Amino acid sequence: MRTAIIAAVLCTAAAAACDGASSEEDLRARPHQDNAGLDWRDQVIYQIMIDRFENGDPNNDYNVALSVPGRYHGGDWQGVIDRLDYLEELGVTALWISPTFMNTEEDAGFASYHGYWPYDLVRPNHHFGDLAKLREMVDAAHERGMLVILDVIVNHMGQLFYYDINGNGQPDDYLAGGGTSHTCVQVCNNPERADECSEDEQTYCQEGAGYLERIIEWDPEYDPRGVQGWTSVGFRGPAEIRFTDWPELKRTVPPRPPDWFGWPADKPWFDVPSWYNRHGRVYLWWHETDYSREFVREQETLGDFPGGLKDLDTDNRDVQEALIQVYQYWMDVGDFDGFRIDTLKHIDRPEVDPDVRGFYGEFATRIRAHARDIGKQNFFIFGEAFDGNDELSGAYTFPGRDGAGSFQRIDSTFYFSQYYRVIKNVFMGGAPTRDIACMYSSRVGGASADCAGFAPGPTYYGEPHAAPEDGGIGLAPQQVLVNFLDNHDLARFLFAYQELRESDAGALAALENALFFVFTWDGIPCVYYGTEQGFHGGVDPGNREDMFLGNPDAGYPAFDTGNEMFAYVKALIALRKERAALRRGAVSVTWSSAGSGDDPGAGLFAFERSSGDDKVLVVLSARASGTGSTCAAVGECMTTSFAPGTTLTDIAPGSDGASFTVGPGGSLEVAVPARGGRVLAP
Amino acid sequence: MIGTDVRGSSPEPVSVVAHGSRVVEPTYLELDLYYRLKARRGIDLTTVTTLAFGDRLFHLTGEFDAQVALRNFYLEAEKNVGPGRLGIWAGSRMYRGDDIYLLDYWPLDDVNTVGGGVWYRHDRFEHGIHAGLNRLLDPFQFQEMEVVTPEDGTATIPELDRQRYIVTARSSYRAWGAPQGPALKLKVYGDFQALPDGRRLRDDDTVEKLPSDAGWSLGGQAGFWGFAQGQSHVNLFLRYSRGLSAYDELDPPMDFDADKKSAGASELVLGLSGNYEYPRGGVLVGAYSRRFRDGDPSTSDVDDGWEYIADARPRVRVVDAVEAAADVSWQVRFPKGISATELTAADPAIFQIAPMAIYSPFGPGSYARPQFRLVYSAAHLNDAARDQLYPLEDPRRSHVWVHYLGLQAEWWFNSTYRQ
Repeated sequence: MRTAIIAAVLCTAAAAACDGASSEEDLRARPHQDNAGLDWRDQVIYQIMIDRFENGDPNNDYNVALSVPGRYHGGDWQGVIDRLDYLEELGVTALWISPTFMNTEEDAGFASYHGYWPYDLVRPNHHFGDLAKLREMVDAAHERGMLVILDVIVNHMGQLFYYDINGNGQPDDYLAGGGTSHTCVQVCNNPERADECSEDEQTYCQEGAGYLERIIEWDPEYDPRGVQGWTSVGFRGPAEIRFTDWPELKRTVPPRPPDWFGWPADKPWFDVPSWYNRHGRVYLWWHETDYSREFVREQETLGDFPGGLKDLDTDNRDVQEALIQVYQYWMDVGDFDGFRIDTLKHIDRPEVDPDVRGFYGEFATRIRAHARDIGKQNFFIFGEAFDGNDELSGAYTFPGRDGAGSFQRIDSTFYFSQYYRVIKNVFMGGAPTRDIACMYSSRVGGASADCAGFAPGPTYYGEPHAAPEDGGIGLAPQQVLVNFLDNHDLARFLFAYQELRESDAGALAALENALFFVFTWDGIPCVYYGTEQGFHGGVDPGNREDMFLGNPDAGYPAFDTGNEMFAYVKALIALRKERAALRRGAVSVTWSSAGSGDDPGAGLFAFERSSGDDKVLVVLSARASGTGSTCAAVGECMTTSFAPGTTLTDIAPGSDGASFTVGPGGSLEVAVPARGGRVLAP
Repeated sequence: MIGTDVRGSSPEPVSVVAHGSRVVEPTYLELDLYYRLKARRGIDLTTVTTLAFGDRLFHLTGEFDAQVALRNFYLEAEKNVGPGRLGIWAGSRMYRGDDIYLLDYWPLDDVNTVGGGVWYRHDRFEHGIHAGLNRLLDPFQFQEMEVVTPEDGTATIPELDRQRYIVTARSSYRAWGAPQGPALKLKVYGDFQALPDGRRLRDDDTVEKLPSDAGWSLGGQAGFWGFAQGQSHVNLFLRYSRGLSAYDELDPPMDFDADKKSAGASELVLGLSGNYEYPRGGVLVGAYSRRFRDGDPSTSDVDDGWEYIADARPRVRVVDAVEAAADVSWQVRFPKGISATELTAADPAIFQIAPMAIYSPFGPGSYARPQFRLVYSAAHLNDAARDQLYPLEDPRRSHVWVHYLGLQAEWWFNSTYRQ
């Protein structure tokens, strides 16, 4: 009997030991992938909206409503793990994942499936999994040679408070009244004080008179002097900020981080009005010619993001420190290889004040230092400046110097100007390919007189910010702009094409054409999930389709690897991986055209890429019809740097294997069918 | 239970394991009502009705809202057959074996179903089989929808209606000694559970398919009793369960694999209960080790892990029917995951000591009832325990020591499981 009891106890003890009765290790203490020798120009980024990619774990499917586009659909980090085979087959090398931290749950019937409504910046969004699962996903990606980029938000928090403009202690959806913008009512439209108003403010008040009359306390329009409290007898000073107490929607004062995080107990944590700018919602989005650039930028950087997303005062030292520590923490636990900064242009104004350190000057410098400290090289920091103005977008890549010394900024941005002026205008709209050349010249400096409407440049910084061993990437921003055709904030290429052309005829060919460009051009290509499945949704939320439901319109099952578009993207990636010239090569434009229509050379764009011993010539046609040629007229052919007599063979995916021989003086005539492209190599 | 947390608020039991110490427990009442009838041909009939009342006392809350449950409601017939005695029963029944009293836990066989069974006792053997079911009012098993009717109005229909079927078998053998002791018995137990598939509608009216599911348990018990005074005994339990059986049948599983099944869930329990009595007192003991894995295949899961508890309550007679006792327990859990709040790994643990004065009007004894107790309890919660028990905003999160001072009354009259 006694023996039996002892045996039973020993058995369970042994089982406990084998099972690891000890606690889970601290994720922060796990080793980090060092990324030594990495070159970001070699990467192909794949953007994943986690909620829409794959549902790998049904246990986190709460508040899921599959049939409603604006609600959670169940995708999670386990789903990404489950689909790494697919991503590996496609050939992508870096996964940009949507934000990982806890969000406010819902607002106005929409759920935070996208991750851009921060609530608790330190704790994970449990719709997607827990911290261990997140790290498991990153580790699994790393094992397959894939990097993981984290989407970071430093501009705003979620819908945590409202402006109690009328002082009644409840959030009102509608306040009627004549011009509730204090600046307009009390200052600009007040004869006794009108001279206090700037010209921009006067314009703002005149143009927005009707628009500004309807106020919602969650999201009032921008007021240059801050949102003011107002009653029927007049203004009463800044409107009270009231944080909501709706725990079921995660719309409360944000929870404080754990004690070990080290944030002082006597300091606020995103729970005081002074951490926010409190100017109301951004109103001016475009390059309004009626306003000065300064006014537009001021309200872009001080205003709340639409949807009640409250703008953080990133000039506040405590806010800066909190955000830096938050993202250093995510680097520690998640072992991420880079950051994609959301709403980049809504913080700092480097195009106006290049030597004001601001937030990014501190953030980029400290993040790189932290990468170095944890043994991670080549930490890539790039951002989203949703703006077609290169002088604005590029300004975020230039370093600065102030009284404290020199400071760095970020490594790169999404190439939004290229999206507008090349992807949309050229590849969808048929604009001259000269614009592509002008964009490049403007980027690196030296745009010619032919490039009217393009900044002379250089619009992007031409030196690396930091060496890889110091946490930088050792590459100049000019070399690593992120090229894309669409993303979660834009209609998909196929939809935008159809909208622009009022027809979908030729849309697929145009998409392949544009993909050919981004995969052969310099910079880092970025593919929005589902592009390879022919997704064609419109703007948000139409462009956030469920990957796990396939493409029923095209008849593709989920994660189909047999369709033509998947095969094409896979082939382009494979070609890019094969040829160092396509990944890292210097660019030399050999042909572009200002012409259009029947001009044989119109719609063609050609460029050489060379890296070390590897050199290729890329010739593409953005023409919607007709074969183009790099000889505009007899004797006026493209000139290349290849030696006369060199035979160049087309190695592009799906090529006809055509060969072309370089003529005297390096001249070369290459014929390219409509929407076609050739990669010619000796 | 009447008492205070010494801070001016209501007392609360604190536990980080599945079955903690019962020193501080909510008020609970079971009224066993039964008839015994002699039918013809030597058949004895028993009807058992057990009304159970939860912790809603009018004098405490001022609300007329006592919660009643019908826990036993069955008919049993027994008769001598052959060398032994045969019984059959049908109805709603708490069908269970021996417990660990200090932890209010039945580690081997404890099934609450609506069903029926057959048992047979002969010589040193007792065998029993049972089949039963439940259908919880939980979205896991039940969903009602309103639909349009041809006439005005709506009708309510069951969109999901899944019964959980449970079949058990047990057999015990008194290997040594006489029924009154000292004696040794060995018992084996097994169960099988099954749930059919079904479908339910999510909030957005999309269909969610629920697959069929199953589970099983296998276990045993060794019991030794009568080796000392009073109701001295010691029981050792061992049970292993998989799938549905790893969960309490009254609680739906919360975590599943990718196929929405609980197949990956498992539970391994090694339990000990004991009582030793001597002329001037005695000691009750209870302990178990348990490894639980839920159906979620993640290897890092805070719901999974080992847990242990050991509880002892020695008592000594002071005078006549008055005794002094102290309940001392220690419990710890080793979750295989990271705290969602603290974002680190930590092992919650509680040490509790509860001195008490006991008055048993019918004389002292570990199981002598009724019993009045004056109890003071102090439980020390480590950081991880407070993190597990209390959300960030809960003011109790700062309470390293949880106190209880109270008066307790406990009695059993004709309790079914004490037969």
